[in-house]
Amino acid sequence: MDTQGVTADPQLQQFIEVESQKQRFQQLVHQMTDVCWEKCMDKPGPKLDSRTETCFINCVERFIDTSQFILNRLEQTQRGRGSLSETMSD
Amino acid sequence: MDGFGSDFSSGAAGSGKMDPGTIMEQVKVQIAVANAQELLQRMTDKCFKKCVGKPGGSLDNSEQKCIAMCMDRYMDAWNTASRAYNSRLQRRERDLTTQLSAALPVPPENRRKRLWSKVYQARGHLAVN
Repeated sequence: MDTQGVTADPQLQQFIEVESQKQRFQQLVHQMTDVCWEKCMDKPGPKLDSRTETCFINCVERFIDTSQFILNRLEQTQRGRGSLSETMSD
Repeated sequence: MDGFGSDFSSGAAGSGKMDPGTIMEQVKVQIAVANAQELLQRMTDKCFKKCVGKPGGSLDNSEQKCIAMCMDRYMDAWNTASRAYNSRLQRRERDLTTQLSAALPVPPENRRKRLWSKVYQARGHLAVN
């Protein structure tokens, strides 16, 4: 099989990158909807009231903040101390 | 596997499935199906938890009404999360672009174009964050 032909095709390469990016987005939305439903939704009513909607929006933003916080702190601890296990005893 | 390489690039008859355009379309369909399945699975899980108490011999009327409303609310929630996440990504891209522009002196037209294309390339990294 001419595997070189498959991976060298720039059109396919770009397609794969674009679709992968879209999928990462979709997966995160699935995950955040799931998590935020638990935090924000009481009894499902005839419509999404504004308080619940605000909760969902805040939830998404805080979820992303949490993710970034974890990444930043992980980078800091690894840079400063060399191993994560040292920070675990805090 | 005679002439397999040329079949791939020309999409000759009998090997239509190797045509890149067809592959891309099929992959898109598969991705869409997978996303729909994921959505339905999570929706079923959430709405079962919210609407069905002690399971009886069948779903009674109130349970069915609840599930119907729950489905709609789950879609609303999904769309809200999608919009919020999208806004966040766009805001981050705007901020990064502003920082980039502020850090540089105004270059001539052609250099500006090259710099912007770098921003668009970097956009690929932003979706994850």
